[in-house]
Amino acid sequence: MSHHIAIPNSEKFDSKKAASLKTIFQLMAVIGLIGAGIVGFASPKLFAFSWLFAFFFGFTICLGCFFWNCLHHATDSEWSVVIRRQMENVSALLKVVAVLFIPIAAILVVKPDLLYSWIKPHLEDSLMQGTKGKYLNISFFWVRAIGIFGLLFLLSTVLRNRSIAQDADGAAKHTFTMRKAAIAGIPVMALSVTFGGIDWLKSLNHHWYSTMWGVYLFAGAAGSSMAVIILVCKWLKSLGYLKPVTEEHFHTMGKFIFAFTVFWGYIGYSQYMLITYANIDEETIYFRLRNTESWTYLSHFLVFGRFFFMFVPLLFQGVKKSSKIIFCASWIILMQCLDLFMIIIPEYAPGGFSFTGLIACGIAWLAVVGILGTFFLRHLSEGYLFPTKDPRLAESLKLTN
Amino acid sequence: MAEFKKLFALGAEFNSATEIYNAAEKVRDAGYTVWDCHSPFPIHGMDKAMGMKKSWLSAFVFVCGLTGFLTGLGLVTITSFGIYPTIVNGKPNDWEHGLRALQFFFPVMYELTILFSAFGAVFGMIIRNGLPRLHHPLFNWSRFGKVTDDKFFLVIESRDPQFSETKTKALLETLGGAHITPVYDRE
Repeated sequence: MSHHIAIPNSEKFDSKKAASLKTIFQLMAVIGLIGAGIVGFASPKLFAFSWLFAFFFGFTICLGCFFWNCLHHATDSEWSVVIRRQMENVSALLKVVAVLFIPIAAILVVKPDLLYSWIKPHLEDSLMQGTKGKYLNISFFWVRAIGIFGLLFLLSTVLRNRSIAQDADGAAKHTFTMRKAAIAGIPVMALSVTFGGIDWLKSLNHHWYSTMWGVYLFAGAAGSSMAVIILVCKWLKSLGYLKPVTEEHFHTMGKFIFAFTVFWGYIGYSQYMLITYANIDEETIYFRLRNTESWTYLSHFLVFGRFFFMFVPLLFQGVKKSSKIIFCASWIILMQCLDLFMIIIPEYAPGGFSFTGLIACGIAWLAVVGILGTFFLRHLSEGYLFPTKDPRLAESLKLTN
Repeated sequence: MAEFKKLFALGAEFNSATEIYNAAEKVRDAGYTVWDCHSPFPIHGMDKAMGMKKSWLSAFVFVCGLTGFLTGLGLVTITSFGIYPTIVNGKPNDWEHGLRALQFFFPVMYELTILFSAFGAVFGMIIRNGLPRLHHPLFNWSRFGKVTDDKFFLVIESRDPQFSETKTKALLETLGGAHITPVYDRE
């Protein structure tokens, strides 16, 4: 208090500074796409599963950033104003993610039962003849997919465009519009991650059901996307940008990845414990597959890697405020990949760990991350690096924990 | 009736948060260590203006949480795996086969971790603040009652190694404090 805080000068991203990163992203995209093409010719089924993995990784990261962006406006947050533009830049990639869904859509059109066996008519399957068939049918599937991407595209674009428009005139009306869009965005986000998760991942085995599925995916998405925001901010700071972002902001962001590490553990454990205690065949099938053969080692590693290994270091202020947070954030993103790998690939290779599956996932991941990264760099140079005329910018700079 | 003769501190009164904030920075820079600021409401950034270090409470909470976790771990393993091996979800639970069902006992460890760290946070804070106490020497100063209304008080205790009745008084005067008063305590 009592110290006047000068409003910092606006920062504009100079794309020359990221020329090498841009080349890396483009190279990743090209190598990934060529590799994925080769995988697709060799084994369309493997391509379908690996692309689903990479697509859903991109989807969770962008959707998580969309969630943080909405949360910022819905709760009238002050602290996050200086980093909000990065959330907007990532969440506006949801339109690219929608394009990345096209290969999966194409597969479903050409070879319907390659990914989801429920698409074929099941005369002997009493479940599909009943109420489940009313939800899991291909036409309703398309309606949901279009609804999810349409709403997410609309809201994330409104939030980003309004925020950039405010950079020019500084009018408070943009803040009110963004608040309305954000309050609509939170249920849209919740429904997207739930129905997207059910349609694209859970229906890989349509006999299985879990009531924790949506919130489980949300926990992973929110934590790993905050980790992405941390990495983006650290990278921009290393280039000499985002000067107003202090260690206090990284401390707060670190608290959030800690919170969502615990939340992921809590939800993952709840799902596991409820299912094992109830011991119903349709529910335990998920864990039976992942806790047998060589998959069991990776399942156990996921529990330790995603929760226990990050729990203790993130308790400490020193870790959150220093550059050690870069390691924690990278690790959490890696564990998010492992989480999705363990959700998708055991359905492709029920017999045990599949090395070709891992390679194919890595190739598809390169393609998706390369494409998203290229578009992200383009977003970066389109506006200022933080909302320069946001009415709450000064409050954000004063953040103390 | 006890005699209040022992000098406890020198107190000064300020009229606004800005005044006491600026005064606190100067007292900090003068090298005083045993002193405090009293205000009707929390003042943001006061901890930095007073040069306060990070509280050790978090370390205490961490140790308490760890104790809780280990207590929970000991409780379930000794009773359900050691003394009286139980079968949970058809999984053998003894030292020979490994703790196959340890995950089902996790809520016990989790709850005890939380319980002990909450105890650590609350009781550690109470101990650190020297609570509970029924009386404080500052209450002998009649003007101090305004601290719950609209006045701000900066108090330098006589325990401070730098304390000198004349020099400290002079410092408080230069900082613009009003009603600079020596506060006395019981012998």
